[in-house]
Amino acid sequence: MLKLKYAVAVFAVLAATAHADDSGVRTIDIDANTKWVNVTDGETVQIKANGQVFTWHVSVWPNRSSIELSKVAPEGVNVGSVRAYVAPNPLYRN
Amino acid sequence: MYKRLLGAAAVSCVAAGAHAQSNVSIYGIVDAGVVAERGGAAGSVNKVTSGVGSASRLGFKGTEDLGGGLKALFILESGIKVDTGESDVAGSIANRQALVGLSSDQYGTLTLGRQKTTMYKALGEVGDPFGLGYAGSSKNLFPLAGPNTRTSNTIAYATPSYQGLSGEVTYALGEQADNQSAGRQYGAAISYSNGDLNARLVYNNRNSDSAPAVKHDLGHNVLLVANYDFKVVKAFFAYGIDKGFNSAVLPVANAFGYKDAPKPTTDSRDLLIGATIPVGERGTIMTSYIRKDDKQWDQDANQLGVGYSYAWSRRTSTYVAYAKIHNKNGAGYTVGNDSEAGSGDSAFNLGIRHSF
Repeated sequence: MLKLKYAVAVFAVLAATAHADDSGVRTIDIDANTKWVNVTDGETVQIKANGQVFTWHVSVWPNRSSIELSKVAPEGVNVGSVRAYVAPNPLYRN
Repeated sequence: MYKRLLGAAAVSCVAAGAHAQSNVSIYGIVDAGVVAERGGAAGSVNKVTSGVGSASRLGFKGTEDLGGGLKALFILESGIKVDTGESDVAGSIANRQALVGLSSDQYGTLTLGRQKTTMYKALGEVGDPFGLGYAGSSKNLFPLAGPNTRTSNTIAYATPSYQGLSGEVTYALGEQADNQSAGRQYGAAISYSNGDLNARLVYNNRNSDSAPAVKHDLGHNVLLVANYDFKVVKAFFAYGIDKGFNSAVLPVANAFGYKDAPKPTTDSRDLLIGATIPVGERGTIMTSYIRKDDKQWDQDANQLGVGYSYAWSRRTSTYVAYAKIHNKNGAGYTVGNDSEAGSGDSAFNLGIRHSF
């Protein structure tokens, strides 16, 4: 049982061999041409960049609709200047 | 944020070959505020209201990974009045959303149950800087009353997103004896969401017949919504065309006590121009101007709304908002909020919103 008491962006570096299908988590591939990615507040995504993979549980402040991916990427993972655009959490939409 | 009651694979190191488990989440919003309404036949109205910024709710959501990229999903979501502790619709346990379906990253999502209309989602998610809440809600003038908000007996299909482009169709059965078309409603949406731009084009078709004898012409709505994030300001736009019976149901029948009550129009246009402006790390100013153009009776109206929300955390915000409507030629529109239609032509809100 896992309780997420606080909405904090938490991530962990994964082995590059992790299978997105097996984990059931949406995977986003980033290459040199990627300028932005679309994610949704509250979802968990795998980001693949330069042979490295990390998981991001997306959680941003209410007045934020985008964030530099480098701010949530683990140290050592190069995601360049890719920006993540964050749609509002569907659970809290009107 | 919400708690995961059962196993979840959200935030942890995942070894190759790990399998996601089924999970159920409990979530909700508890929102209450002080509301002061002025200008209506009821006089000055001061009250504590639930769901001023966002309708208060308690929900359960679950998914089960069926393998091969396929998931089962469900949502049961109930509206709650925080000011009294009552359900916001008597006799209903999941009036806000009740659905079950299958979802595939490759083929899209198919759901059955009581669901939001494409038009309601378009304004709430893209077109309205107030997100349909607070005094400045676009619900005050845009045609979102009744079944234009949610429909029961609904089949909905949403495509996956391809390069930011996605689509959705909904079909709500009327379920009336000997007449398959009576009471049915359907809608469609095409969405584009990429980078700083979000845009959506929506169609809504409502049959208001009641079998066997009551007949009306169809109600049609076409709505275009968009927003663009300029970083220092996020600009919002919405334009709607409403034609036919029940295409623009009046939220309140005769709030101002006119001798000749306002008439529901069967030919109108709706325009919204608005913005949200981030203030520091935690504050947001919301503002919009909305114009209702009644082509049939000339009962037009304009609304100007402004609000400010301050986030104490990612889950808790306090807010203040004010809106004023100018009604013309016997129009009777009122300033409400996300949960109430309002009683006068102006309203002030001060409240707190907590999500979990």
